[in-house]
Amino acid sequence: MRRDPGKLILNVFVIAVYIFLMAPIVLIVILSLNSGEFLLFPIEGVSLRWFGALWNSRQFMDAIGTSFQVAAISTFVSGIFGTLAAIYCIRFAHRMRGALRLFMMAPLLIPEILTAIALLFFMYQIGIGTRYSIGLQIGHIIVTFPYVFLNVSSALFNFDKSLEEASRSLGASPLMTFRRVTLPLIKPGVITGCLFAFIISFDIFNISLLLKGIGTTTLPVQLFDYLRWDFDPTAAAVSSLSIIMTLIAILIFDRFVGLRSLRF
Amino acid sequence: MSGAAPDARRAFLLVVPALALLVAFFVLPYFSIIIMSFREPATQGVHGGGFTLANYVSAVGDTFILRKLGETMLLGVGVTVITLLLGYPVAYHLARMRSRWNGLLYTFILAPLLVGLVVRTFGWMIILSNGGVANQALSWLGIIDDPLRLMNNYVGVTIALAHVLLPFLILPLLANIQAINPEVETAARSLGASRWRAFWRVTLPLSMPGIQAGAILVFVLSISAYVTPAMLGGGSGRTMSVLVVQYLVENFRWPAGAALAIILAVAAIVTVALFFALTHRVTRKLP
Amino acid sequence: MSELRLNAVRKRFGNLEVLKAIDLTVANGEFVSLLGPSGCGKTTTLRCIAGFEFPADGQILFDGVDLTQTAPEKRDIGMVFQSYALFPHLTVQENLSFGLEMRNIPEPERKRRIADVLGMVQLVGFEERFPRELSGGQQQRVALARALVIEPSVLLLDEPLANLDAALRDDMRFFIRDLQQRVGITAIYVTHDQSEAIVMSDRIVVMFDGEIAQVGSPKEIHDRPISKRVAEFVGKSNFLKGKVESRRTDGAVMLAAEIGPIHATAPATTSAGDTVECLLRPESMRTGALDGLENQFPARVEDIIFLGNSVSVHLTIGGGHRILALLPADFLAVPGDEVHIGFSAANVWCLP
Ligand SMILES: Nc1ncnc2c1ncn2[C@@H]1O[C@H](COP(=O)(O)OP(=O)(O)OP(=O)(O)O)[C@@H](O)[C@H]1O
Ligand SMILES: [Mg+2]
Repeated sequence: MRRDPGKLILNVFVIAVYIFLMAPIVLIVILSLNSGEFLLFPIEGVSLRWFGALWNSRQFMDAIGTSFQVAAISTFVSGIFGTLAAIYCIRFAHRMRGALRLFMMAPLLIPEILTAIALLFFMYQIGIGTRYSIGLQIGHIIVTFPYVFLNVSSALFNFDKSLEEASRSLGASPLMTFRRVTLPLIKPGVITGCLFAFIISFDIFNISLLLKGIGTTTLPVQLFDYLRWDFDPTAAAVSSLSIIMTLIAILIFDRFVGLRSLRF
Repeated sequence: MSGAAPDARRAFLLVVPALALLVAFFVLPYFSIIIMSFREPATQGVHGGGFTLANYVSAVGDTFILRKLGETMLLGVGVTVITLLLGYPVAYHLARMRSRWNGLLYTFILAPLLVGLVVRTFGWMIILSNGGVANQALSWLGIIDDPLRLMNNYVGVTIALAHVLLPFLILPLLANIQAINPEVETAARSLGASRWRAFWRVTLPLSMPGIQAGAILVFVLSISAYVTPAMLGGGSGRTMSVLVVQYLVENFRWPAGAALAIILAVAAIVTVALFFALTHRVTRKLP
Repeated sequence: MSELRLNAVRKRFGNLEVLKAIDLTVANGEFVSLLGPSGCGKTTTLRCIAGFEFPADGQILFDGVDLTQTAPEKRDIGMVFQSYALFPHLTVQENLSFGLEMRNIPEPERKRRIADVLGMVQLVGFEERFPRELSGGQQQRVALARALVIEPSVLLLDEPLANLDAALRDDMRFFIRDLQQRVGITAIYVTHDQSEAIVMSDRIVVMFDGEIAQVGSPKEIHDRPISKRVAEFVGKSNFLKGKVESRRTDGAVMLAAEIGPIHATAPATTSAGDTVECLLRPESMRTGALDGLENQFPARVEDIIFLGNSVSVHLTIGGGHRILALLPADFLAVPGDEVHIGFSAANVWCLP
C-alpha cells in the first residue's frame, strides 16, 4: 500500500497537539505523587505524602467544602430555573424565542470578569457587599444557568413533537404527557446540564475572587493564593485531586449519557 | 376559541424565575458598572458624590494604559491565530475520522476544558518556570545552556492561553466540519482538483462559520482572561484584566477600574465587529 | 365505533387558507382515504379531527356530538403517525399499556388486551423489546397496535407506510385493511399515493388546495373522475378530444373524435353538440381478441417499455395521435409493427 505523505504529516501534527493538550494535566498528576520536596523532575519516588499534607491542610479542606456547597446550590437552582426556562422557550415562546434564547445565554457570552465586577458594584450599591457570600452564590448561579438552559433546550429541540401528540391521542392530559413522556426523554439533557453546572461552578474563578466573603474562599481561589507564596507538591496534590474527580465525573457520565451529547 | 391560548399564558410562569434572576442580578449590575465609571473618585468610601468624565479622560490620556490595551489586543490576536493553526487540523482530523478512538480523542479535547483554569495554568507554571520541565528538556537535549525566560512575560501567557482556549476553538469547528458532507470534497476531486485544492476551495470556505465562531470565542476569552496572565504574566505580562482587578482589589480605585473595564469591553466589541466585517464576504455566500 | 361528520370546517394559518369549508361524513366502520398532492391540507384535516388543530369555523361531530373544541385526549381516537412516534423510553408492552393506563383500566384486563392485540399484529414475543430494537415494519405494527388496543371509536392514520420500503409497503396495505375489517373500526387514512388509496379504501376523498374535489368509491374515482385534474392525479391517462354527435338515455354517446368516431360514456350533464374531452385509461386497452369491443382502431407501435408484469406501449392511431397503452407482458411486437387495438365504450369517459 502506498503511504500518503500528506496524511502522515497531518497525523503527526495532530498527535503533537493532543500531547500539548494533555501534557500539563498529566505532569501535575505525576508530580503530585512525588516523594521529594520540589515540583521537579526526575521525581525521587512515588508516595502519597502530599495528599496527606493536603488532608491536614485546614485551608484547602475548608475551600473544598465551600466549593462543594456553592456548586451544589448553584446546580440545584440553575437546574430548576434552566429547565423551566428552556421548556418555555422551545415549547411556548414563538415570536420572542430568538431574543429570549440570546438573553438566557448572555451570561455565557459576556466575559465572566465583567459580570464579576458588575455584580461586585451592584452588591455594594444595594448595601449587601460581600457579606454572607450572597453575591458569590448568585454569581455562580448566573454563570451556570446557561449551561442547563442550553442542554435542556437542545434536548427539547431534537425531540419529536409527535411523541407528545401520540400521548395526547392515547388519552393523556398535557400535564400527564409532560410527566410520562417529555420529562423522561429530556432527562439526559437535564442531567448533562446539571453536571456541567456543577463542574463549571467548581471552576469559576473571577466571581469567587471578587465576591468572596470572609471565610468563603473556594478551591480555585485558595489554590491561586497558595501558589503566590508556595510552590510545592501540595498544590499538585490538590490539583490532581480535582483532575481525578473531573475524570471520574466524565467517565460515569460517558457511560450513562454519552459525551457527545454535551452542549456548549 | 382554540384551547391553546390560556395554556400559553399560564406557561409564561415557567420563565419568570429565570427572567427575574437575570434582570435583578445580571442586567441591573451592568447598569451599576456603567454608573460607577462616571463617579468621582474618593479616598473615603467607594466613590465621591458627583459625576465626571475624568475616569475616561485620564485613562485615554495615560500612555501606560494605552500600551497595556494595545498589548492585550495583540495578545488576543496572537492567541487566536495560534489556536486556529493548532486547532483546525485537529478538528478536521477528528471530524473525518471513523475509528474506535474517536471517543477517546474527543475526551482529550473536552477534558482540559473541564479541569479548572487555575489547575491548568499551574501545570504551565511547572513546565515554563526557570528550572521547569521545558528548560530541563531543552538543556538535556543540549539546545540551550542557560534557561530561557518563559514565564513572567507574554511568552508564557500566550502559550498557556492557547492551551486553555484551544478546546473553545476546536469544538465549534468540529461540529461545523462534521456537518459538511464529505462527498463534496470527493466531488471536487472527481472534477480534477488535487486533495489540497479540494480542501482549499471547498471544505475551508464551508467551514468558515465554525472558524468565525471559534475565533471570536477565543479572542474574547483571551483578552478578558484574568487567571492565566495573573499567574504567568508577572510584572511585564500584565493584561488589562489584571490591571482592572488590581485597581479594584489592591488600589481600591473603583470608578477608574470601572472605566478601564468598559474601555476593554468596547475595544473587544469593536474588534469583533471588525472581524465580522472582514469575514462577512466569505460567509455571506454560504447557506 | 362511530360515525364522523365534518361540517364546513375551515382552517387558516396566518393568511393562508388551508381548509376551505370541508364537508365530509364517514360512516360507522368505513375506511376512507384522504388523497391529494403535497400541501393540499390532508394532514391538517386529520389533525382537526384528532384535536391537534382547532378549526376557525365549522363543526366536527362524533356520533352527532360536537367535539370541535375538545382536547385530543378526550376524543377517543387512535392515531398512527408517519414517524410512528413510539415512546423510545418504553418497551413494546409499556407503549401499548400507556393508553390503557390513561383510561384507568385494571392490570389484568390491560394484560389481556395487549396480548390480544399483539396477536393480531403478529408480534407476540416482542413485549420486552424497545422500539429501537425493532425493524421498520415491526415498529409500524406496534404503532398500529398501540392505537387499536385502546379500542378507539375512530382510527386516524397519517401516511403510515411512507417510511417503509416498497415490498413491505405492499404487504402492509393488505395487513392494515384486513385488520380494520376484522375490528370493524371507522378509519381515516391520509396518503398521497393513489394506488394505496385505491387498494385499501371503501371511499376516497380527493383533495386539492384545501378543497374536496371528489368523493367516491375507488372505482368511481378511477373510472369516472369529475375533472381532468382528478383523472391525472389518480392514474395514467389518455385524453381524447371530440364532439358529441348523439346521446342515448343510458349515457352512451357517439363521438366525433380527433382519432375518428368512437363510442363513449358521458354523465347526464353532457348533451349532443357539446365539445368534450374523454379519459381513456391505458390499462383498458386490448389487443388480439377484440370481439365485443365497440371501438377498434389500427395502430402503429412506436416503442415498448417492459415493466415486468406488463408492457407500456406508445402507439400512433388515427393519423398521428399518440396514445399510451398498458398491455399484458406477452404482447409480442416491435416498434414499427402495425397492430389492432380495441376498447369498450364504458372505458371512454367524457369529463363533465
Ligand atoms: N403549523 C402550520 N403553520 C403554518 N402553515 C402550516 C402549518 N401546518 C401546515 N401548514 C400549511 O398548510 C398547508 C397544508 O398542509 P398539510 O400538512 O395539511 O398538507 P398535506 O396535504 O398533509 O401535505 P403532505 O402530503 O406534504 O403531508 C401547507 O401549505 C402547509 O404549508
Ligand atoms: Mg401531511
